[in-house]
Amino acid sequence: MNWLRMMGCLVGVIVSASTLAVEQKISTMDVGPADIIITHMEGRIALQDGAAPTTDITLTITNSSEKNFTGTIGFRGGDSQPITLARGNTATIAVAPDVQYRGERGHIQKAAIDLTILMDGDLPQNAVESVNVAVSLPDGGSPLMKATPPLIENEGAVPSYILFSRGQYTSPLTMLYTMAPVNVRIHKTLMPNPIKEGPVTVSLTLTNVGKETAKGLIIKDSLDPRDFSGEGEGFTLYQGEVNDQRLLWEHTLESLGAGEKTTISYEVIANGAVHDVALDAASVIVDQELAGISNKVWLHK
Amino acid sequence: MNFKPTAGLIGMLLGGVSILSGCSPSVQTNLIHPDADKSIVFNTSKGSVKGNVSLLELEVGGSIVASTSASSLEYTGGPYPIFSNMMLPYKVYAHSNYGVKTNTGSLYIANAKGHYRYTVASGSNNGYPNSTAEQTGPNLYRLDKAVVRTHAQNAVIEYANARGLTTTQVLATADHMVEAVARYVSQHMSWRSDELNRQVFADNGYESYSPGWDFPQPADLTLTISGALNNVSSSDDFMGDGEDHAILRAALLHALGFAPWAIWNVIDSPVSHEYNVVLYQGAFRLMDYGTIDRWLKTHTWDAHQSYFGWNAEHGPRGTADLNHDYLKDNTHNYPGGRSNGNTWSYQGYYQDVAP
Repeated sequence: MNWLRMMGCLVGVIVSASTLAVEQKISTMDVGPADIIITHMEGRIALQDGAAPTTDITLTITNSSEKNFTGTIGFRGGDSQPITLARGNTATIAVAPDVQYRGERGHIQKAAIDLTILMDGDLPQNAVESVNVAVSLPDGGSPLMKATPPLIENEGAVPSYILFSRGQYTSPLTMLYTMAPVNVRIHKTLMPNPIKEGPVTVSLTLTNVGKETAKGLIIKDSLDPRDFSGEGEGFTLYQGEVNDQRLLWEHTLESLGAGEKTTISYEVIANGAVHDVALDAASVIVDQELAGISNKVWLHK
Repeated sequence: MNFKPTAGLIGMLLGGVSILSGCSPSVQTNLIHPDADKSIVFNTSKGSVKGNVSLLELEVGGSIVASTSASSLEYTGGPYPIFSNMMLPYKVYAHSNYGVKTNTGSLYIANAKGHYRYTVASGSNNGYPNSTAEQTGPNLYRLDKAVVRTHAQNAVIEYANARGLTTTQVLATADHMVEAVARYVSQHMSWRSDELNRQVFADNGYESYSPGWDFPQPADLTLTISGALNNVSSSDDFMGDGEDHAILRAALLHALGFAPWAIWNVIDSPVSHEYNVVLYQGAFRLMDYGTIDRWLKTHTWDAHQSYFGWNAEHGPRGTADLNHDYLKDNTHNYPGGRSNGNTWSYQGYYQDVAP
């Protein structure tokens, strides 16, 4: 069998005769050259209503090594450019990232722009020294429902955003936005946090940042029943089909006017200290459509 | 009852330090069960050897690595990347006017990194499982799908940013990879019932997905469609219940080059929950919702009565073939043997039992 195994390695496929399972090689996880540094990422991303966002992004690259560099630099899944950079030199290139879009005009939409930089196909060794990318909403858009990583918000009649960082690796920028008339911002908090055994208050602060009054808001939250117990109105202990369970909480709010804010709280009992876990986001549904998602609360020690 | 303290037991009693003693030279190491990313410090001395010791030699992995004419010797070895799931033998020679006395032992070196192979999916529904019997690692981890690798890279990047590390540092250390994956899944995935998961699959072009027992989601579809917005039940990037989280964690670790023997999907008995058992900090540990730290010490969940196991090489997952022995025979703490002296039990995963 050894010769078969050796041949398998040469062609990237290993066949084990005993099980007939076929093995395939997986790409190794490597990193790019050490002294090629992305010193700056700049540009703009324009979200669209009913279409993928447009992007205009440049990378400034410095070769701080003692050798000339020839290779490729670009975004994962997107544009990748061959580049030759003499030692000590700096160059700026325009590159197009991969853009994924889902949604429907006039409704909730999601855009993911993969800003992960690859050098010769591998992750960079060095973080990007500075990032400054402006993000704009479609005309008539209301504030973003969620952005990962978080963006800096410039408040205004139509808010705008900046992806800003220093000394961080760039990653996919995922944004959830809606063109529906209702957009509910939810902020979830727990008191106390850190959590010890005993009562815990979960507060959901809802702000209608949309243009119209929201009616019949269904607010949903869920917790692990091994960590928390809750009884009374709104609580359901869901027993999964086979091997999982959940403590569900639901509340209906009759209406929330445009610009209006309200806080709804419920109490659960922590079955012990709960920490080092992110609680699931709460959500709001209006007219069978997702109208808001909260932050995930991190429970620390 | 005869009580013979073993080297491992003495080591545990001394808080993680291994000592071999007797009428022989002594050996002390700073780790009992290091993983291959760490260096190991060997401290040797004449111990209880009688007479004048003229030469003290340390042999590690079959080669003399240090020697001295003094009465003690310190040597730092490693990291030992060439060892993977193997024992590292060592031996000390004390030459005295009474002859040569020796002391031998071994350390378990576990390096789960660098396994860049996977078994091709064989499920009869385009590689996906089409029955309970087809719920295998290859059919559910789907390492042939590029999206799994993409998100494994994302996990590395986000962890590096959060911890102020470089990508090189994360990818060079198996424990960092485990931490990165646990964190990534916790940050991006939320729970949703199988009842709704089924509906989401149907609404996103996978009406034909019929995997049998318990509706496990393949990792690639968790990453691509489980968070789709056309279902109001999506409140996070990825959605799924217990086994879906566990399948995704295992798949991401495999995509980072983690070896199949070091990562398991585990189910309680009686069946109540699914999660992972993973090689971390030199022993097999629990990995479930939240960071890996969350589960290191004894806690109060009734779940985690780890009993059945399956992974990329053992299975299938489904009820009819649930197999206790896969887990019992492959995840002894410490890995590679029964060196803590106890029979296998789920409690063995905790740091306060297996430091």
